[in-house]
Amino acid sequence: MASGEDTFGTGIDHALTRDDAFSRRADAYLARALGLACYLLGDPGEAEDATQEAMARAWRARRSLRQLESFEAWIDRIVVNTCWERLRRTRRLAEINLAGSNPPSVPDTFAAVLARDSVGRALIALTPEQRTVVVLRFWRDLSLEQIADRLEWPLGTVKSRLHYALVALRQQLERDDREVDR
Amino acid sequence: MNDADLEHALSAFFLRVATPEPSERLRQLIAADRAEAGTARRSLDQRMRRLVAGLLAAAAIGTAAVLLGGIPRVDRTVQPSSSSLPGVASNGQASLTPTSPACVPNLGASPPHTPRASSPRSISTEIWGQTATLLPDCRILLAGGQAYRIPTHFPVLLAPASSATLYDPSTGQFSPTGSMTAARYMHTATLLLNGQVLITGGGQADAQRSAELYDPRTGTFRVTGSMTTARIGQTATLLADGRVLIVGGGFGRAPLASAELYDPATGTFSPTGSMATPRFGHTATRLLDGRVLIAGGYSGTGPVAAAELYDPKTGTFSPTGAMLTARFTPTATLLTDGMVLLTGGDDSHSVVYSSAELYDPATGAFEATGSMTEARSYHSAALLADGSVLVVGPYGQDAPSSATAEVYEPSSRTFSQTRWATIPWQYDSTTATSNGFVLVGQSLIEITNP
Repeated sequence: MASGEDTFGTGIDHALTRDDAFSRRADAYLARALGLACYLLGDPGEAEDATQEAMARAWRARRSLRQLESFEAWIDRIVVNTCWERLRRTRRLAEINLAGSNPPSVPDTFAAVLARDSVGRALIALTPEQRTVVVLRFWRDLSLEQIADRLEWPLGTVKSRLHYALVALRQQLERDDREVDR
Repeated sequence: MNDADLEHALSAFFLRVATPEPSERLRQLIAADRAEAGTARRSLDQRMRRLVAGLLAAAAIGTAAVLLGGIPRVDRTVQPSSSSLPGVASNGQASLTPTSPACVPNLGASPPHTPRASSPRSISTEIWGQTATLLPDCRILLAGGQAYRIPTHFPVLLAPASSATLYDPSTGQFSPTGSMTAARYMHTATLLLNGQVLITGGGQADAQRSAELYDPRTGTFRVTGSMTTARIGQTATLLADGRVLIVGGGFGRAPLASAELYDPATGTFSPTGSMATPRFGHTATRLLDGRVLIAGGYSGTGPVAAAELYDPKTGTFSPTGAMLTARFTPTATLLTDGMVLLTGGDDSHSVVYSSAELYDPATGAFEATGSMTEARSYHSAALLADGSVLVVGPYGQDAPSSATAEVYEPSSRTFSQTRWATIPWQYDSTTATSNGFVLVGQSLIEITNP
C-alpha cells in the first residue's frame, strides 16, 4: 500500500466507507493473523480462537487507527497481545483438561508438523516473548525497528530478546543433534 | 552451528511449514462479531447499501449500457436497429461496435431465464466489481471482480479474481475463458473497434496501472501498455477514432482529475488534458459530435454538480453547465436526439435521488425532466432499440427487498414502472440490456411491460 496517499483517516464517506475499507484490509490480513497466532500458540484451534478474538478487538478499536499505512503494525500488536494473554491464561489452566473445548475447524496438522520438526520444537520451547521476536523477524521478515514498533518495546529490548532467543534455539538444536547422534 | 546456519535453518523452517488457511467457520465468526458489534453511525441496511454501492459501482456503472443498441425488446415489436447510437456508453466502460448484430437470447434456455430463488441465502459467494462487455458475436465477457460472502448480512470480501467468463445468449451457457494477467475489480472493459476488449486498472491490493487486451477469437488476455497513473473506479470511453479516453478514478484515494488516452495502434497510454474537478463515480458519455460529457461523481469532499466536456480534437476538458443536483453514481444515457439523460444517484452520504435531468449539448445546459418512480443509486440504465431508456435499480432509498425497473419515454419525458420477474434484492451486479433483459449476477431476467 502506497503510504501517504490513502485517505483512510480523513473521514471520506463514500461508497466504501472507512469501516468497509477497514473490513477489507482486515479480511485480507486474516491469513497472516492466523499464521502469527499459530506460531505463537502452537495450536491451530487455539490460534483460530485467538485470531477471532483479536479481530473482534480490532473491529471495536478501529476508530483509534488513524492511518491506513500503520494498519499492519497496529493489528499485529493486537494479535500478539491477544496470544500472550491466552498463553498466560493457558499457563494458569495448564493442569485442567479442557475436554469440552471446541475442536479446531482447521486441520490439526500444523501442531504435528511443529512437533516433528526440530526447529519447530525448539521454537515452541522458547518463551512467548522470544518466540514472538523470532517469528516476526524470520517468518514476517520484519526489521528490528518494525518489531520494536509492533511490540512497543525499546529497540535494545528487541535486540536483547532476539539474541537470547537465538542462543536458546541454537542450544536446543544442538541438543537435538546430539540425541540423534546417540 | 554458527549464526548464519541458525538463521538459514529458521528461514528454511518458515518456508517449509505452511500455516493453516483461515477456515470458513473463522470467517463467519469474525463477520458475526462485526455485525454484533454494531454499526453505530448508521443502520445495517444503510451500511449494507453503502458497501453494496461500492460493490456495484464498477459493475453497474460501467455495464449499464454494455448491451446498448442493436437488439429489439422481446415485448415490443421493434426490429433490431444497428443504427442505434453506436459506441455510446453511459459511463464509458461499456462500448459497442458500430456493426453490432442483433443478439437475441435463447428464450428456452435454462437456467439463465429462471428468476433467482426467493429464499434468503444463509451463506453465499457473489462477485462484485466485475465488468460485462458485449462482444461483436453477441457473447458477453464477464471479467474479474471480487468475490464476497454474506454469512451474516455482513459481506466478507475475498481476493480479487483474474478469471473471466463468457456468457452465450444463444445457448444460455456460461463458460470460462482465459485469465486476465492480473486480478482486478472496479476496472474497466471497453470493446475496441478491432473487436478486442481493453481492460484497464482496477484494484488488487491497491489501484493498478496495468492494462491488457482480450481477444475473443483466441479467448486469451495479453498485456498491453500501462496507464500513466494507477486508477480504480475510472471511466473508459471509446472515441470515434478508436482511441479510448480514461478519466478520473481513484477509489480509496483522493479522486484523480487527470485523464489519458489509449491508442490501440501503438498499444500505449499517453496523458491528455485534466479535468477541473477530480472525481470518481462519475459518468462519461460520448456525444453525437464525438465530445465526451463528464458528469457527476465524488470529488473527495462531496458529490459533484459541475460537468465538463472533453474534446478529442483539442485533447482538453472545458466546463459546461452544472447539473441541477450534484450526483454521485448517477446513470447517463445518450438519447437518440443527442440529449443525455441523467438519472438518480445520491449525495455520497445518505440521500438517494429519484430526480432526473437532461443535458442539451446544443446549449450546454441541464434541465429537469420527469422523476423516476423510485429513488435509485448505483443503478443501471440502457438505451432500448425504440429510443426509450430502461432503468434498473438494485435498490433505492429504502433498500427494497426486490429490484425494480422502469422505462423513460423521451416523447413524454416521463418514467413508468415496468414489471419484471421478481428477484430478491441481492448484491449482484445488474446489467440492463437493450432487449428487455437484465443480467443480474449470472441470471438473465426477462422484463415485461405492465
